[in-house]
Amino acid sequence: MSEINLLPQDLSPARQGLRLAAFLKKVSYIILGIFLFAGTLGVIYVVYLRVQINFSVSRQQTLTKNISDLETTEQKLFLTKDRTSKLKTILADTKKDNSYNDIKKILANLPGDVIPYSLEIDSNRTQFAVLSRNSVSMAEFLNSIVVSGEYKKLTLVSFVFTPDRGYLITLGGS
Amino acid sequence: MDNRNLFYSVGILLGVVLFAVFGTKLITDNVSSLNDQLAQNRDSESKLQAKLNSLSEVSSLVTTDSQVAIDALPEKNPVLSVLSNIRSSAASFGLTLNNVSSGEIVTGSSGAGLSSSEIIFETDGDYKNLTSLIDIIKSTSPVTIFDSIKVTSQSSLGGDTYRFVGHLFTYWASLPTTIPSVTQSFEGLTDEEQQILTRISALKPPPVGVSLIPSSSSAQLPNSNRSDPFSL
Repeated sequence: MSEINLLPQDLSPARQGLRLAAFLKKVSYIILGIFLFAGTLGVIYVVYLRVQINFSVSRQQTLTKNISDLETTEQKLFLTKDRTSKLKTILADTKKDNSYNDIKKILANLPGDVIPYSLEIDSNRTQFAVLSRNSVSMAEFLNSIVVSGEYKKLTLVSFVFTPDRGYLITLGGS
Repeated sequence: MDNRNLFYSVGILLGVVLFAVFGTKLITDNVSSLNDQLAQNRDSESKLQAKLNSLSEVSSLVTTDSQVAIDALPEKNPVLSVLSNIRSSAASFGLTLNNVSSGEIVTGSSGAGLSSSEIIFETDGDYKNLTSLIDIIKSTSPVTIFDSIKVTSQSSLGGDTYRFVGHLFTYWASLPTTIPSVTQSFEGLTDEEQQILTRISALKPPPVGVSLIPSSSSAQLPNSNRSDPFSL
């Protein structure tokens, strides 16, 4: 007795296998298509990047050449920078310089009969002395120092009066 | 036959998927690496452009500036030039130098490659001339720093004659032997260095004007293909 298949041919296991195979092929073609499309874009982008890099390298070569043409300028600027950075160390301590300028300013504007007697500036001290026969002038001088405001602190180191030379005042600044 | 078709389709799908995965990875790796390379190139390019712009801007001023800087801090010990300047300035005020001595040379004392030597001298004259002499010494290149200034009246009663004893330091420093490579980014003067430059620009040039900037050299620098511009 022969076997009879009563199921519709569409539903037979063989047909399902064929349909699945066809579906997988379709999926494969879709994936391949997407990949080829994206891949083509990717390759175009890679070429674009390479062209940009080549342009950039070319521009760098031009700039390097132009900079080389200004090499003398660069050397001089480098030398200036080297010297100024070293001079910065030398000129950093302005204390003595300022002291000298302050005292010079004070002694340049002495009242008539007050004369400079001594001036001493070194690492340890800053002091100067003035001499006058006239106590009023000396008072005027002291007042002018206060008014000038050159010194925040002045120390009276000595105040000496002798009949032959008058008043000798020694002041120390800081 | 159906099974073979199915296996064949699965095989194709797997092949396509693997091809797509590896292909995508290859392209993205390439793109990523090229992007990095392009970014680096553009960075170098912008640094070079900035350097070129800066150099073009300063080009006209730099010759004067470098001369001023080398006058202020020469390469060789300037003690003779300073002494000569002091002597001639003193003479212009009718002053004569006495007890002139050049003291100990201190090399590299400040840790900045600087060397210094000490000059001590004394002179007698009226107070105004002595302070003028001090001002001239302070305002002439090369840079000198007074370590001590002592002006004392020569009469106990005070009078016209004063004695000035000056104790000053003069400085020098060897020239740089290396310069940055062409591709290295350019650093201009800092504000502080610009201030120093302004300050030393106000100094009078030394009496004997000899350019201390060497013009050329064939010596090769150790870390650069550029010749040492400062080598004598």
